[in-house]
Amino acid sequence: MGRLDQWFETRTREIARGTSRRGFLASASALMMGAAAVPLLPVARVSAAMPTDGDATSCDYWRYCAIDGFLCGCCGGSPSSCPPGTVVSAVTWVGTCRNPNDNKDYIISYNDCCGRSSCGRCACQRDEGDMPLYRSDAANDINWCAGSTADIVYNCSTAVIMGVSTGE
Amino acid sequence: MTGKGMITVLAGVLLAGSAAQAADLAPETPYVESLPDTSRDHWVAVGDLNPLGNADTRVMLYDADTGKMLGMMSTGYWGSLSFFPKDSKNGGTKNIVTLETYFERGTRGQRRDYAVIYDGITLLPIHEIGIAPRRMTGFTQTQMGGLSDDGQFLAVTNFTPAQSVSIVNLAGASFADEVPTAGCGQIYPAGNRRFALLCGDGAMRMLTIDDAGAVRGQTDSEPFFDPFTDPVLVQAARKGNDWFFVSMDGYIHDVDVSGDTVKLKEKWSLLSDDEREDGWRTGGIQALAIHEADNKLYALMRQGGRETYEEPCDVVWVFDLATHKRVATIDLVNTTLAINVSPDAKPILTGASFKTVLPYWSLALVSILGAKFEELDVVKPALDVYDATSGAHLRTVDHAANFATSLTQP
Repeated sequence: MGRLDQWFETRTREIARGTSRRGFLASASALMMGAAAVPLLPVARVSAAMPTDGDATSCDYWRYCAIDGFLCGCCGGSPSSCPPGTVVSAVTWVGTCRNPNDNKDYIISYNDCCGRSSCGRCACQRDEGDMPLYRSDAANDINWCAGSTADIVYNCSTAVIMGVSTGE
Repeated sequence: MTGKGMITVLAGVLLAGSAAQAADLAPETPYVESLPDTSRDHWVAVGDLNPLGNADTRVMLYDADTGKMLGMMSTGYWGSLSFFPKDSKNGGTKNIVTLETYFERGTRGQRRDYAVIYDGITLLPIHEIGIAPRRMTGFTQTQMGGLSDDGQFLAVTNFTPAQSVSIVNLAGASFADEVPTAGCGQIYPAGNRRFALLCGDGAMRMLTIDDAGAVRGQTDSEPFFDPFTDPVLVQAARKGNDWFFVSMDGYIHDVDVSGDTVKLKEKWSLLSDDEREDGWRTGGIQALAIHEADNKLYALMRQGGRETYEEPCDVVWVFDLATHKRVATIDLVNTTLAINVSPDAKPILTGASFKTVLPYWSLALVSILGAKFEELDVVKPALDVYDATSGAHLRTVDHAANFATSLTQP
Protein backbone atom coordinates (compact mmCIF):
# COMPACT_ATOMS: atom_id res chain seq x y z
CA MET A 1 0.00 0.00 0.00
CA GLY A 2 2.99 2.30 0.55
CA ARG A 3 3.47 3.49 -3.02
CA LEU A 4 -0.27 3.78 -3.62
CA ASP A 5 -0.59 5.72 -0.39
CA GLN A 6 2.21 8.05 -1.45
CA TRP A 7 0.61 8.57 -4.84
CA PHE A 8 -2.66 9.53 -3.18
CA GLU A 9 -0.86 11.82 -0.78
CA THR A 10 0.71 13.63 -3.70
CA ARG A 11 -2.63 13.83 -5.49
CA THR A 12 -4.53 15.10 -2.46
CA ARG A 13 -1.88 17.71 -1.78
CA GLU A 14 -2.34 18.84 -5.35
CA ILE A 15 -6.07 18.92 -4.84
CA ALA A 16 -5.60 20.79 -1.59
CA ARG A 17 -3.67 23.42 -3.51
CA GLY A 18 -6.36 23.48 -6.13
CA THR A 19 -9.07 23.50 -3.50
CA SER A 20 -7.50 26.40 -1.79
CA ARG A 21 -7.37 28.34 -4.99
CA ARG A 22 -10.61 27.36 -6.54
CA GLY A 23 -12.63 26.28 -3.58
CA PHE A 24 -11.68 28.73 -0.88
CA LEU A 25 -9.41 31.52 -1.94
CA ALA A 26 -11.35 32.39 -4.96
CA SER A 27 -14.37 33.32 -3.00
CA ALA A 28 -12.55 35.80 -0.90
CA SER A 29 -11.37 37.98 -3.69
CA ALA A 30 -12.52 39.74 -6.73
CA LEU A 31 -10.74 41.38 -9.61
CA MET A 32 -10.35 44.33 -11.83
CA MET A 33 -8.92 47.60 -13.11
CA GLY A 34 -10.39 50.96 -13.96
CA ALA A 35 -12.96 50.55 -16.67
CA ALA A 36 -12.03 53.96 -17.90
CA ALA A 37 -8.68 52.56 -18.95
CA VAL A 38 -10.21 50.03 -21.29
CA PRO A 39 -10.59 52.36 -24.28
CA LEU A 40 -6.87 53.05 -24.02
CA LEU A 41 -6.00 49.42 -24.46
CA PRO A 42 -5.08 47.91 -27.83
CA VAL A 43 -8.50 46.43 -28.35
CA ALA A 44 -10.57 45.86 -31.46
CA ARG A 45 -14.16 46.00 -30.29
CA VAL A 46 -16.24 42.91 -30.92
CA SER A 47 -19.11 44.00 -33.12
CA ALA A 48 -21.70 41.58 -31.82
CA ALA A 49 -22.25 39.81 -28.54
CA MET A 50 -20.07 36.76 -28.45
CA PRO A 51 -21.82 33.52 -27.64
CA THR A 52 -20.56 31.43 -24.78
CA ASP A 53 -18.36 28.88 -26.50
CA GLY A 54 -17.59 26.65 -23.58
CA ASP A 55 -18.83 25.49 -20.22
CA ALA A 56 -19.53 28.73 -18.34
CA THR A 57 -19.76 26.79 -15.08
CA SER A 58 -16.27 25.30 -15.42
CA CYS A 59 -13.22 27.04 -13.98
CA ASP A 60 -11.31 25.76 -16.99
CA TYR A 61 -13.37 27.82 -19.45
CA TRP A 62 -10.89 29.95 -21.38
CA ARG A 63 -12.43 33.32 -20.47
CA TYR A 64 -11.63 32.68 -16.81
CA CYS A 65 -7.84 32.67 -17.23
CA ALA A 66 -7.33 35.51 -14.75
CA ILE A 67 -10.54 35.30 -12.73
CA ASP A 68 -10.79 35.19 -8.97
CA GLY A 69 -14.21 34.59 -7.50
CA PHE A 70 -17.48 32.71 -7.74
CA LEU A 71 -18.58 32.19 -11.35
CA CYS A 72 -21.72 34.18 -12.05
CA GLY A 73 -22.65 31.51 -14.57
CA CYS A 74 -23.36 29.27 -11.57
CA CYS A 75 -25.16 31.97 -9.58
CA GLY A 76 -28.05 33.12 -11.77
CA GLY A 77 -25.98 35.13 -14.21
CA SER A 78 -23.56 34.25 -16.98
CA PRO A 79 -19.98 35.10 -17.98
CA SER A 80 -21.32 38.45 -19.19
CA SER A 81 -24.28 39.10 -16.89
CA CYS A 82 -24.96 39.54 -13.20
CA PRO A 83 -27.61 37.58 -11.26
CA PRO A 84 -31.00 39.23 -10.68
CA GLY A 85 -31.01 41.77 -7.88
CA THR A 86 -27.30 42.52 -8.01
CA VAL A 87 -25.44 45.47 -9.52
CA VAL A 88 -22.38 45.48 -11.77
CA SER A 89 -19.21 46.87 -10.21
CA ALA A 90 -18.43 50.35 -11.41
CA VAL A 91 -14.75 49.62 -11.96
CA THR A 92 -12.93 46.52 -13.01
CA TRP A 93 -9.58 45.23 -14.10
CA VAL A 94 -8.96 43.50 -17.38
CA GLY A 95 -6.98 40.47 -18.38
CA THR A 96 -6.03 38.89 -21.66
CA CYS A 97 -7.08 35.32 -22.38
CA ARG A 98 -6.40 33.18 -25.42
CA ASN A 99 -9.46 31.57 -26.99
CA PRO A 100 -8.42 28.07 -28.01
CA ASN A 101 -11.21 27.98 -30.59
CA ASP A 102 -9.67 30.66 -32.79
CA ASN A 103 -6.26 31.14 -31.12
CA LYS A 104 -6.91 34.86 -30.71
CA ASP A 105 -6.23 36.85 -27.55
CA TYR A 106 -9.29 38.54 -26.07
CA ILE A 107 -9.48 41.38 -23.58
CA ILE A 108 -11.62 40.21 -20.69
CA SER A 109 -13.22 42.56 -18.16
CA TYR A 110 -13.70 40.79 -14.83
CA ASN A 111 -16.56 42.82 -13.41
CA ASP A 112 -17.89 41.81 -10.03
CA CYS A 113 -21.57 41.54 -9.25
CA CYS A 114 -22.42 43.17 -5.95
CA GLY A 115 -25.23 43.57 -3.45
CA ARG A 116 -25.81 40.00 -2.29
CA SER A 117 -23.67 37.90 0.02
CA SER A 118 -21.10 35.61 -1.58
CA CYS A 119 -22.77 33.18 -3.98
CA GLY A 120 -20.60 30.33 -2.83
CA ARG A 121 -20.95 28.27 -6.02
CA CYS A 122 -18.26 27.44 -8.58
CA ALA A 123 -15.38 29.18 -6.84
CA CYS A 124 -12.58 29.71 -9.32
CA GLN A 125 -9.22 31.39 -9.09
CA ARG A 126 -6.69 31.45 -11.88
CA ASP A 127 -3.89 33.93 -11.48
CA GLU A 128 -2.48 34.41 -14.96
CA GLY A 129 -0.94 37.88 -14.84
CA ASP A 130 -2.18 38.61 -11.32
CA MET A 131 -0.16 41.27 -9.48
CA PRO A 132 0.03 42.50 -5.85
CA LEU A 133 -2.59 44.92 -4.50
CA TYR A 134 -0.63 48.09 -5.26
CA ARG A 135 -0.73 47.13 -8.94
CA SER A 136 -4.47 47.70 -8.95
CA ASP A 137 -4.45 47.68 -12.75
CA ALA A 138 -3.77 43.93 -12.53
CA ALA A 139 -4.63 42.86 -8.99
CA ASN A 140 -7.31 40.22 -8.69
CA ASP A 141 -7.11 40.15 -4.88
CA ILE A 142 -8.99 43.43 -4.55
CA ASN A 143 -12.70 43.42 -3.76
CA TRP A 144 -13.76 45.73 -6.55
CA CYS A 145 -17.33 45.92 -5.37
CA ALA A 146 -15.81 48.83 -3.42
CA GLY A 147 -16.60 51.02 -6.39
CA SER A 148 -20.21 49.89 -6.77
CA THR A 149 -23.50 51.29 -5.50
CA ALA A 150 -23.73 48.19 -3.29
CA ASP A 151 -20.40 49.08 -1.66
CA ILE A 152 -18.18 46.08 -0.79
CA VAL A 153 -20.89 43.41 -0.78
CA TYR A 154 -19.48 40.81 -3.19
CA ASN A 155 -21.64 38.16 -4.89
CA CYS A 156 -19.87 36.72 -7.96
CA SER A 157 -17.56 37.50 -10.87
CA THR A 158 -18.12 37.80 -14.61
CA ALA A 159 -15.72 37.55 -17.54
CA VAL A 160 -16.98 40.01 -20.14
CA ILE A 161 -15.35 40.09 -23.58
CA MET A 162 -14.32 43.62 -24.46
CA GLY A 163 -12.61 42.91 -27.75
CA VAL A 164 -9.77 41.18 -29.52
CA SER A 165 -6.30 42.15 -28.44
CA THR A 166 -4.43 43.63 -31.34
CA GLY A 167 -1.20 43.26 -29.42
CA GLU A 168 -0.16 46.81 -30.20
CA MET B 1 -42.46 -13.58 40.97
CA THR B 2 -43.65 -12.81 37.49
CA GLY B 3 -41.34 -11.39 34.90
CA LYS B 4 -43.11 -8.04 35.13
CA GLY B 5 -42.63 -7.98 38.88
CA MET B 6 -38.92 -8.73 38.52
CA ILE B 7 -38.49 -5.77 36.14
CA THR B 8 -40.29 -3.50 38.59
CA VAL B 9 -37.99 -4.56 41.43
CA LEU B 10 -34.88 -4.10 39.30
CA ALA B 11 -36.03 -0.68 38.17
CA GLY B 12 -36.62 0.28 41.78
CA VAL B 13 -33.12 -0.74 42.74
CA LEU B 14 -31.62 1.19 39.84
CA LEU B 15 -33.66 4.31 40.64
CA ALA B 16 -32.66 4.12 44.28
CA GLY B 17 -29.03 3.95 43.21
CA SER B 18 -29.44 6.96 40.96
CA ALA B 19 -31.06 8.94 43.75
CA ALA B 20 -28.17 8.13 46.06
CA GLN B 21 -25.68 9.30 43.42
CA ALA B 22 -27.71 12.44 42.75
CA ALA B 23 -27.61 13.32 46.43
CA ASP B 24 -23.78 13.31 46.25
CA LEU B 25 -23.60 15.36 43.03
CA ALA B 26 -23.29 19.12 43.21
CA PRO B 27 -25.43 20.62 40.44
CA GLU B 28 -23.52 22.57 37.84
CA THR B 29 -24.08 26.25 37.19
CA PRO B 30 -23.33 27.39 33.65
CA TYR B 31 -20.77 30.13 33.49
CA VAL B 32 -18.70 32.12 30.99
CA GLU B 33 -14.98 31.51 30.64
CA SER B 34 -12.34 34.22 30.70
CA LEU B 35 -9.13 34.11 28.72
CA PRO B 36 -6.32 32.83 30.95
CA ASP B 37 -4.14 35.66 32.27
CA THR B 38 -0.94 33.83 31.40
CA SER B 39 1.83 34.05 28.84
CA ARG B 40 0.46 34.63 25.37
CA ASP B 41 3.75 33.77 23.66
CA HIS B 42 2.24 30.75 21.97
CA TRP B 43 -1.22 32.07 21.31
CA VAL B 44 -2.16 32.59 17.70
CA ALA B 45 -5.06 34.50 16.19
CA VAL B 46 -6.42 32.91 13.04
CA GLY B 47 -8.12 35.37 10.70
CA ASP B 48 -11.12 33.64 9.15
CA LEU B 49 -12.41 35.34 6.00
CA ASN B 50 -15.29 32.83 5.87
CA PRO B 51 -15.78 33.22 2.12
CA LEU B 52 -19.08 31.38 2.08
CA GLY B 53 -20.44 34.02 4.45
CA ASN B 54 -18.55 37.28 4.02
CA ALA B 55 -20.88 39.06 6.44
CA ASP B 56 -19.71 36.80 9.27
CA THR B 57 -15.92 36.91 9.38
CA ARG B 58 -14.11 35.95 12.55
CA VAL B 59 -10.88 35.90 14.48
CA MET B 60 -10.30 32.60 16.28
CA LEU B 61 -7.87 32.50 19.22
CA TYR B 62 -5.87 29.34 19.89
CA ASP B 63 -3.31 28.22 22.43
CA ALA B 64 -0.87 26.51 20.09
CA ASP B 65 0.78 24.62 22.97
CA THR B 66 -2.39 22.68 23.69
CA GLY B 67 -4.32 23.10 20.47
CA LYS B 68 -7.21 24.43 22.54
CA MET B 69 -9.45 27.09 21.09
CA LEU B 70 -9.64 29.93 23.60
CA GLY B 71 -12.42 32.00 22.10
CA MET B 72 -13.28 34.14 19.09
CA MET B 73 -14.36 37.56 17.93
CA SER B 74 -16.98 38.28 15.28
CA THR B 75 -15.58 40.90 12.93
CA GLY B 76 -18.57 41.58 10.69
CA TYR B 77 -18.40 42.02 6.93
CA TRP B 78 -15.04 41.06 5.36
CA GLY B 79 -13.05 41.62 8.55
CA SER B 80 -10.75 39.01 10.13
CA LEU B 81 -7.86 41.32 11.06
CA SER B 82 -6.70 41.56 14.66
CA PHE B 83 -4.03 43.58 16.42
CA PHE B 84 -2.36 43.09 19.78
CA PRO B 85 -1.05 46.40 21.16
CA LYS B 86 2.09 45.94 23.18
CA ASP B 87 1.21 48.90 25.27
CA SER B 88 3.84 49.91 27.77
CA LYS B 89 2.24 53.22 28.68
CA ASN B 90 -1.17 51.99 29.67
CA GLY B 91 -0.16 49.46 32.26
CA GLY B 92 0.63 46.66 29.84
CA THR B 93 -2.92 46.19 28.60
CA LYS B 94 -3.76 42.88 26.98
CA ASN B 95 -6.45 44.44 24.85
CA ILE B 96 -7.13 43.12 21.36
CA VAL B 97 -8.14 45.40 18.48
CA THR B 98 -10.13 44.39 15.39
CA LEU B 99 -11.41 46.17 12.28
CA GLU B 100 -15.08 45.49 11.66
CA THR B 101 -17.68 46.54 9.09
CA TYR B 102 -21.47 46.31 9.36
CA PHE B 103 -24.30 47.14 7.02
CA GLU B 104 -27.54 48.33 8.54
CA ARG B 105 -29.52 45.38 7.20
CA GLY B 106 -26.90 42.68 6.84
CA THR B 107 -25.80 43.25 3.27
CA ARG B 108 -27.82 46.45 2.65
CA GLY B 109 -28.22 49.85 4.15
CA GLN B 110 -25.76 52.26 5.69
CA ARG B 111 -22.21 50.98 6.09
CA ARG B 112 -20.42 51.53 9.36
CA ASP B 113 -16.77 50.69 10.05
CA TYR B 114 -15.29 50.34 13.50
CA ALA B 115 -12.01 49.79 15.24
CA VAL B 116 -13.13 47.69 18.19
CA ILE B 117 -11.06 47.36 21.36
CA TYR B 118 -11.73 44.10 23.20
CA ASP B 119 -10.76 43.37 26.78
CA GLY B 120 -8.04 40.75 26.58
CA ILE B 121 -9.44 38.76 29.51
CA THR B 122 -13.23 38.91 29.12
CA LEU B 123 -13.10 39.29 25.32
CA LEU B 124 -15.91 41.83 25.61
CA PRO B 125 -15.78 45.04 23.54
CA ILE B 126 -14.58 48.01 25.58
CA HIS B 127 -14.73 50.62 22.82
CA GLU B 128 -16.34 50.62 19.39
CA ILE B 129 -14.61 53.50 17.63
CA GLY B 130 -16.44 54.67 14.53
CA ILE B 131 -13.99 55.17 11.64
CA ALA B 132 -14.33 56.31 8.01
CA PRO B 133 -16.51 53.65 6.29
CA ARG B 134 -13.98 53.15 3.54
CA ARG B 135 -11.53 50.50 4.71
CA MET B 136 -10.10 48.32 1.95
CA THR B 137 -11.15 44.69 1.53
CA GLY B 138 -9.36 42.03 -0.45
CA PHE B 139 -8.23 38.49 -0.40
CA THR B 140 -5.03 39.47 1.38
CA GLN B 141 -6.05 41.52 4.42
CA THR B 142 -2.49 41.47 5.72
CA GLN B 143 -0.95 44.98 6.01
CA MET B 144 -4.38 46.63 5.64
CA GLY B 145 -3.85 48.00 9.12
CA GLY B 146 -0.96 48.52 11.50
CA LEU B 147 -0.28 49.54 15.10
CA SER B 148 2.18 52.19 16.17
CA ASP B 149 4.99 50.60 18.14
CA ASP B 150 3.64 51.99 21.41
CA GLY B 151 0.17 50.66 20.67
CA GLN B 152 -1.39 54.13 20.89
CA PHE B 153 -2.46 54.46 17.25
CA LEU B 154 -3.85 52.25 14.51
CA ALA B 155 -3.49 53.10 10.81
CA VAL B 156 -6.10 51.73 8.38
CA THR B 157 -5.94 51.38 4.57
CA ASN B 158 -8.94 52.84 2.74
CA PHE B 159 -10.00 52.19 -0.87
CA THR B 160 -13.10 53.48 -2.63
CA PRO B 161 -11.14 52.98 -5.06
CA ALA B 162 -9.58 56.34 -4.15
CA GLN B 163 -6.86 55.62 -1.64
CA SER B 164 -6.52 57.16 1.81
CA VAL B 165 -5.33 56.19 5.26
CA SER B 166 -7.21 56.60 8.53
CA ILE B 167 -5.52 57.10 11.90
CA VAL B 168 -7.33 55.81 15.00
CA ASN B 169 -6.34 57.05 18.44
CA LEU B 170 -6.66 53.86 20.49
CA ALA B 171 -5.52 55.44 23.74
CA GLY B 172 -8.17 58.12 23.38
CA ALA B 173 -10.72 55.79 21.77
CA SER B 174 -11.33 58.27 18.98
CA PHE B 175 -11.03 58.65 15.21
CA ALA B 176 -8.07 60.96 14.72
CA ASP B 177 -7.51 61.71 11.05
CA GLU B 178 -7.87 60.63 7.42
CA VAL B 179 -5.54 61.78 4.64
CA PRO B 180 -5.46 61.04 0.88
CA THR B 181 -2.54 58.77 -0.03
CA ALA B 182 -2.96 58.41 -3.79
CA GLY B 183 -1.05 55.42 -5.09
CA CYS B 184 -0.03 54.16 -1.63
CA GLY B 185 -2.00 51.89 0.65
CA GLN B 186 -0.62 48.94 2.63
CA ILE B 187 0.76 49.77 6.06
CA TYR B 188 4.12 48.96 7.72
CA PRO B 189 4.54 50.41 11.23
CA ALA B 190 7.78 52.34 11.69
CA GLY B 191 7.94 53.64 15.24
CA ASN B 192 5.62 55.33 17.68
CA ARG B 193 4.47 58.10 15.36
CA ARG B 194 5.27 56.84 11.89
CA PHE B 195 3.73 54.45 9.39
CA ALA B 196 5.33 53.49 6.07
CA LEU B 197 3.03 52.81 3.09
CA LEU B 198 3.78 50.66 0.05
CA CYS B 199 3.20 52.46 -3.25
CA GLY B 200 2.44 51.42 -6.80
CA ASP B 201 5.53 53.10 -8.21
CA GLY B 202 7.90 50.84 -6.27
CA ALA B 203 8.55 53.36 -3.49
CA MET B 204 7.38 53.73 0.10
CA ARG B 205 5.78 56.78 1.66
CA MET B 206 6.41 57.68 5.30
CA LEU B 207 3.43 59.08 7.18
CA THR B 208 4.28 61.04 10.32
CA ILE B 209 1.62 61.74 12.94
CA ASP B 210 1.59 63.93 16.03
CA ASP B 211 0.61 62.95 19.56
CA ALA B 212 -3.07 63.48 18.73
CA GLY B 213 -2.88 61.24 15.69
CA ALA B 214 -3.08 64.03 13.11
CA VAL B 215 -0.96 63.38 10.03
CA ARG B 216 1.81 65.99 9.89
CA GLY B 217 3.86 64.84 6.93
CA GLN B 218 4.20 62.45 4.01
CA THR B 219 7.64 61.73 2.53
CA ASP B 220 8.22 59.56 -0.51
CA SER B 221 11.28 57.34 -0.87
CA GLU B 222 13.13 56.57 -4.06
CA PRO B 223 11.61 53.53 -5.82
CA PHE B 224 13.41 50.44 -4.56
CA PHE B 225 11.84 47.79 -6.77
CA ASP B 226 10.30 47.54 -10.22
CA PRO B 227 6.54 46.97 -9.84
CA PHE B 228 6.30 45.74 -13.41
CA THR B 229 9.23 43.37 -13.88
CA ASP B 230 9.67 41.94 -10.37
CA PRO B 231 7.09 43.28 -7.91
CA VAL B 232 7.47 42.64 -4.19
CA LEU B 233 4.69 40.88 -2.32
CA VAL B 234 2.54 42.91 0.03
CA GLN B 235 3.11 40.76 3.11
CA ALA B 236 6.45 41.51 4.73
CA ALA B 237 8.31 40.59 7.93
CA ARG B 238 9.85 43.02 10.38
CA LYS B 239 13.00 43.00 12.45
CA GLY B 240 13.48 46.18 14.44
CA ASN B 241 13.64 49.07 11.99
CA ASP B 242 13.97 46.77 8.98
CA TRP B 243 11.10 45.44 6.91
CA PHE B 244 11.86 42.47 4.65
CA PHE B 245 9.92 42.20 1.41
CA VAL B 246 10.26 39.33 -1.05
CA SER B 247 9.74 39.76 -4.78
CA MET B 248 7.97 37.38 -7.12
CA ASP B 249 11.33 36.18 -8.39
CA GLY B 250 12.69 35.52 -4.91
CA TYR B 251 14.76 38.60 -4.03
CA ILE B 252 14.67 39.93 -0.49
CA HIS B 253 14.42 43.72 -0.22
CA ASP B 254 15.57 44.85 3.23
CA VAL B 255 14.32 48.40 3.79
CA ASP B 256 15.24 50.68 6.67
CA VAL B 257 12.34 52.62 8.20
CA SER B 258 14.31 54.29 11.00
CA GLY B 259 14.34 57.71 9.32
CA ASP B 260 11.78 60.05 7.85
CA THR B 261 12.53 58.62 4.41
CA VAL B 262 12.47 54.88 3.77
CA LYS B 263 15.74 53.57 2.34
CA LEU B 264 16.68 50.30 0.67
CA LYS B 265 19.36 48.80 2.88
CA GLU B 266 20.15 45.61 1.04
CA LYS B 267 18.83 43.38 -1.71
CA TRP B 268 19.74 39.72 -1.72
CA SER B 269 18.49 36.50 -3.26
CA LEU B 270 16.67 33.73 -1.43
CA LEU B 271 17.50 31.44 -4.32
CA SER B 272 20.52 30.11 -6.11
CA ASP B 273 20.49 30.44 -9.87
CA ASP B 274 19.67 26.73 -10.14
CA GLU B 275 16.77 27.03 -7.69
CA ARG B 276 15.39 30.00 -9.60
CA GLU B 277 15.78 28.06 -12.83
CA ASP B 278 13.82 25.22 -11.24
CA GLY B 279 10.91 27.55 -10.48
CA TRP B 280 11.34 27.91 -6.73
CA ARG B 281 9.60 30.94 -5.23
CA THR B 282 7.70 31.93 -2.12
CA GLY B 283 4.03 31.01 -2.00
CA GLY B 284 0.89 31.42 0.04
CA ILE B 285 -0.40 34.72 1.33
CA GLN B 286 1.71 35.08 4.45
CA ALA B 287 5.01 33.76 3.21
CA LEU B 288 7.57 35.40 5.51
CA ALA B 289 8.21 35.33 9.25
CA ILE B 290 11.21 36.40 11.34
CA HIS B 291 12.54 35.28 14.69
CA GLU B 292 14.39 38.36 15.78
CA ALA B 293 16.58 36.93 18.56
CA ASP B 294 17.67 33.96 16.43
CA ASN B 295 18.15 36.26 13.43
CA LYS B 296 16.29 33.80 11.22
CA LEU B 297 13.94 34.33 8.31
CA TYR B 298 11.29 31.68 7.60
CA ALA B 299 9.99 31.51 4.03
CA LEU B 300 7.08 29.45 2.74
CA MET B 301 8.34 27.93 -0.52
CA ARG B 302 7.00 26.13 -3.58
CA GLN B 303 7.88 25.34 -7.16
CA GLY B 304 5.81 26.68 -10.03
CA GLY B 305 5.28 29.54 -12.41
CA ARG B 306 4.66 33.13 -11.36
CA GLU B 307 0.93 32.52 -11.44
CA THR B 308 1.38 30.19 -8.45
CA TYR B 309 2.82 32.89 -6.19
CA GLU B 310 -0.17 32.79 -3.84
CA GLU B 311 -0.69 29.05 -3.82
CA PRO B 312 -0.11 26.90 -0.73
CA CYS B 313 3.26 25.27 -0.10
CA ASP B 314 4.72 22.04 1.26
CA VAL B 315 7.97 23.35 2.71
CA VAL B 316 9.52 26.18 4.76
CA TRP B 317 13.10 27.29 4.15
CA VAL B 318 14.93 28.89 7.07
CA PHE B 319 17.61 31.52 6.39
CA ASP B 320 20.27 33.08 8.57
CA LEU B 321 19.72 36.82 8.16
CA ALA B 322 23.41 37.51 8.76
CA THR B 323 24.79 35.20 6.09
CA HIS B 324 21.69 34.96 3.83
CA LYS B 325 22.34 31.21 3.74
CA ARG B 326 19.65 28.59 4.06
CA VAL B 327 20.25 26.84 7.37
CA ALA B 328 17.24 24.51 7.61
CA THR B 329 14.35 23.05 5.67
CA ILE B 330 11.05 22.15 7.33
CA ASP B 331 8.79 19.75 5.49
CA LEU B 332 5.18 20.61 6.24
CA VAL B 333 2.63 17.97 7.16
CA ASN B 334 -0.11 19.75 5.24
CA THR B 335 -0.04 22.12 2.30
CA THR B 336 0.14 25.57 3.90
CA LEU B 337 -1.07 29.06 3.02
CA ALA B 338 0.28 31.25 5.86
CA ILE B 339 3.02 30.98 8.47
CA ASN B 340 3.98 32.73 11.69
CA VAL B 341 6.83 32.32 14.18
CA SER B 342 6.47 33.15 17.88
CA PRO B 343 9.00 35.66 19.23
CA ASP B 344 9.97 33.86 22.45
CA ALA B 345 13.06 31.83 23.34
CA LYS B 346 11.37 28.52 22.46
CA PRO B 347 9.71 29.56 19.24
CA ILE B 348 6.96 27.69 17.47
CA LEU B 349 6.15 27.86 13.78
CA THR B 350 2.42 27.88 13.07
CA GLY B 351 0.85 27.27 9.68
CA ALA B 352 -2.66 27.83 8.32
CA SER B 353 -3.05 24.77 6.14
CA PHE B 354 -5.35 22.48 4.21
CA LYS B 355 -5.56 19.03 5.71
CA THR B 356 -6.81 15.95 3.91
CA VAL B 357 -9.15 14.61 6.57
CA LEU B 358 -9.36 11.00 5.35
CA PRO B 359 -6.43 8.58 5.23
CA TYR B 360 -4.96 8.28 1.78
CA TRP B 361 -5.63 4.54 1.58
CA SER B 362 -9.36 5.22 2.03
CA LEU B 363 -9.24 7.66 -0.84
CA ALA B 364 -7.65 4.94 -2.93
CA LEU B 365 -10.49 2.63 -1.94
CA VAL B 366 -13.35 5.00 -2.76
CA SER B 367 -11.60 5.87 -5.98
CA ILE B 368 -11.46 2.21 -6.93
CA LEU B 369 -15.16 1.99 -6.05
CA GLY B 370 -15.89 4.68 -8.61
CA ALA B 371 -16.05 7.95 -6.68
CA LYS B 372 -14.68 10.97 -8.50
CA PHE B 373 -11.57 11.61 -6.48
CA GLU B 374 -11.32 15.32 -7.27
CA GLU B 375 -14.90 15.91 -6.16
CA LEU B 376 -14.47 14.38 -2.72
CA ASP B 377 -14.81 17.06 -0.08
CA VAL B 378 -11.89 15.86 1.98
CA VAL B 379 -9.67 18.92 2.34
CA LYS B 380 -10.33 21.12 5.40
CA PRO B 381 -8.56 24.17 6.88
CA ALA B 382 -6.29 23.32 9.83
CA LEU B 383 -3.70 24.93 12.10
CA ASP B 384 -0.35 23.12 12.25
CA VAL B 385 2.19 23.70 15.01
CA TYR B 386 5.92 22.96 14.68
CA ASP B 387 8.99 23.45 16.83
CA ALA B 388 10.53 26.36 14.93
CA THR B 389 14.05 25.34 15.94
CA SER B 390 14.00 21.62 15.18
CA GLY B 391 11.19 21.68 12.63
CA ALA B 392 9.42 18.84 14.44
CA HIS B 393 5.67 18.71 13.93
CA LEU B 394 4.03 19.07 17.34
CA ARG B 395 0.30 19.02 16.64
CA THR B 396 -2.46 19.86 14.20
CA VAL B 397 -5.71 21.56 15.15
CA ASP B 398 -8.46 20.32 12.85
CA HIS B 399 -11.00 22.71 11.34
CA ALA B 400 -9.27 25.73 12.86
CA ALA B 401 -11.41 28.09 10.78
CA ASN B 402 -13.74 28.07 7.81
CA PHE B 403 -10.94 29.61 5.79
CA ALA B 404 -7.82 31.00 7.44
CA THR B 405 -6.08 33.81 5.58
CA SER B 406 -3.86 35.25 8.28
CA LEU B 407 -2.03 34.31 11.46
CA THR B 408 -1.34 36.99 14.05
CA GLN B 409 0.78 36.73 17.16
CA PRO B 410 -0.16 38.57 20.38
